[in-house]
Amino acid sequence: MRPALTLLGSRAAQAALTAWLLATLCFGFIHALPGDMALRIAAARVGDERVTVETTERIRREEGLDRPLAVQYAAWLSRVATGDLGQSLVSRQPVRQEIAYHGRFTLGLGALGWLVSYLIALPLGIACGFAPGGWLDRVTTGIAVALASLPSFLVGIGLISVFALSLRWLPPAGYRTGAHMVLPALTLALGLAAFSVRIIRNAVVEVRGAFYMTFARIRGRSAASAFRHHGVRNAAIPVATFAALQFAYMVDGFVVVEMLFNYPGLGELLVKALLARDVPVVMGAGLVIGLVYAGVNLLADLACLALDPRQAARFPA
Amino acid sequence: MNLTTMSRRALIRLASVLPVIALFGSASLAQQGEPVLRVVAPWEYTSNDPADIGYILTRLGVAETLVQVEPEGQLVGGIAESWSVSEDKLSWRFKLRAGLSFHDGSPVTAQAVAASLKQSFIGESLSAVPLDSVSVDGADVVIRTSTPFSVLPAFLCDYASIVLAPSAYGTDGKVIKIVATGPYKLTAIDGKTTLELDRFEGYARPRPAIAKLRYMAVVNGDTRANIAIAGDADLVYTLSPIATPRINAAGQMKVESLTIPRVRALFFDSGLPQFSDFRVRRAIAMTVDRDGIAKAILRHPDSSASQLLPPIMTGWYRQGLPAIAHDPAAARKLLDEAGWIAAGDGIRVKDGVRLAAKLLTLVNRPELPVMASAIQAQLRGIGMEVVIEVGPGNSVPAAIKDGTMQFTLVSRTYVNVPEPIATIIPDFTRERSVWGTVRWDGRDQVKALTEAYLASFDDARKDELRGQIIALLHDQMPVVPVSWSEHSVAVSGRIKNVAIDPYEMRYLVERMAWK
Repeated sequence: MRPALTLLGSRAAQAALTAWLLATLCFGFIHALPGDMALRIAAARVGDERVTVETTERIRREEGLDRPLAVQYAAWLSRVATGDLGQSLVSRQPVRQEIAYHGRFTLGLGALGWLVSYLIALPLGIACGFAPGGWLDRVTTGIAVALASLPSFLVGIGLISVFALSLRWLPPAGYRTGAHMVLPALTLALGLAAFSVRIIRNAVVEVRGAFYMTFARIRGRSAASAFRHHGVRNAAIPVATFAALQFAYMVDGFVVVEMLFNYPGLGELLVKALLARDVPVVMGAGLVIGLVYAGVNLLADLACLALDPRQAARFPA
Repeated sequence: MNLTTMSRRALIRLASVLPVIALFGSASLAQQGEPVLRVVAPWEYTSNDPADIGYILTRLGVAETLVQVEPEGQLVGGIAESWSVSEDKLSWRFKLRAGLSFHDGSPVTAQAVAASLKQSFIGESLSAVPLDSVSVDGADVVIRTSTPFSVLPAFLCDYASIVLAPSAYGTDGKVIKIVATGPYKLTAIDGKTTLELDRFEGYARPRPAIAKLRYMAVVNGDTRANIAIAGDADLVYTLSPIATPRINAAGQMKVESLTIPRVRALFFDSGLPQFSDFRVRRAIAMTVDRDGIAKAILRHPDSSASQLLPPIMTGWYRQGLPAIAHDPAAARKLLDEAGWIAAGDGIRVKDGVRLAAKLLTLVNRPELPVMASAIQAQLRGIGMEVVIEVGPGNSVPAAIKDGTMQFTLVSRTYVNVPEPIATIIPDFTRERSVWGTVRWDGRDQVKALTEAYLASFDDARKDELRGQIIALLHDQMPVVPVSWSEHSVAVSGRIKNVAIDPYEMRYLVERMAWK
């Protein structure tokens, strides 16, 4: 019990610190961008062509953008301390509501993309690990390197061209039905699987060469049985750690994939908020992404702890 | 049972259940039943404020204004049946259509209309109207201006002045929900991208044939083109001219387009030594190969702009204006006369100033950067150096505001209301406009003409003033029109009676029908 509690405590503190740091950096960066913030917000509200000096000045006054930056930051911090993320400067909706709405879509897409990536990577990685250097291993490595080196928007455009525009099997953009999720999820999954298939393959190769596996074989177990009883759990440890690290890639991937497929997730919200200089939304999204990132890492650590009880020894009794 | 076992089981359960929950939580099944007209356009529904998104509501036929404009240009009654102006030209009386009701079933009364208009006049959109008061007289709405303002009915077509029911407003006067009078009513708003609409059964002018609409906002132009290529919508609005051949070739949808009063043009900071002499601006106009750009880049030869507004604006397009021919040799001669002499590197110099400038253009219209590159190469031919900067949609107002604008290539509509004077005034009569000219010395002349235009109720006099304004702009060249825009819409094979509104105010879905 104690190792898990110690881990939870330290990670909760780290999560809060990371989230605050990320939101603060967002605040700093967005204000460092050139251009008049009130003008950008006015353009996002009424449209570029309807912007007037009067609208810009009214927004500057109403939203308190003429206050010193330190005052604006302190006001945000004190609001956040009470659990209030403020209101979007563009939609005037609560940031919490905006993030909840868009986060729901990102969660769905991320979970599906992650699941599909492991549906691809697990069997392929294990098969390659059982026959390193074989034809399957070489072909998989080639495809994985090609996919890993391609930016996700190119993979997405390729999938749209083939499955939406040429074959017309799937819609090219949107979010309303399950069919709309296939291409964005596949774009994410291919990017994720390109890396994880190699990690799984290497973990399997390493585990299969371990002394305890040889010992299991000497005891009379078949290769498959030895791997099932002794290999899977050991090979899963680096894979679990890597899966958590992939979350960072996913955040990056969401931004590109959601914009490409007109999918209303957090990445799309973040890009539009950045373009519109919608500071409360950018900071709120930064805060949430930081917390989720820390949460995912905590889950991975708990998973490793569960998979490998020896790690409990790292925590003082 | 120990903790390790529990954690493992819990983790496995969590890992297997999460994606399923997420999938079902985020994806909804397509609804069956009555056919739904799927409309795709670039504009997101960001708030309920009519000043922000009123144009989405008027385009989809959700909300109406007192006065509306027909695609042919004549002003007709929207909520108002007719209107008249008093002898002193200060008081406008609007007689409302009888028997109208709001989407919540409440009657459209003069009190409700006046209250809604008063809210509209608080914002900046209608700030050009010299408003004195909005009042009710019997069953009529009376709008009084402090000075004669002949174009008031045209200004009342502005989407910011849509009429909403009393129940649409919160206690602070802000719009909390859309309760309007149009042929379609909003039934659901999903985020900023999707609106669901049903035919308003209380609308009978006449009853719309299509019962259900779904609006989807797709900001990215390439994605909209992909949707049209895949045939995943019934109407896809605002398409790049570059995408049109691909959409037509795919055969799922057919692109229809109409030249509209939106011009792609060069605007100058005439206070800069490079552009202060009108002969330089004229030389640029003579050098830009408008026909070549229209044909090769825009794939629409008729879009080459010979003056500010296209022939569809009958009152503002002046037949007799002398055309500015593409003649780089004459342009070089004109620059020589103006004292701009080519230096060793081929770039002209005058009084130590190089004929060089930064051309700011916008990324949100994909044809503009390509056109800017062509213009850059063409101007190089007469000894002018151009550096192109491509910015987001709001970078032009920002550059004008911070004084870094030199010249711009933008796409500008002159029918924010169906009277171009409403855009000519802010673009050409101010020292620093928001989108148009900067430090142009002819602005006071235009200002005098526009003031006379606003005050005049005589059609012949107004026509004369229109001619003078356009002639002055054509002669002094504070703006070099390059091409007029096309309003393009991809139409599926399922619908008929599609009309394109050159004023971009309505999609006129209420006049469409299933085939």
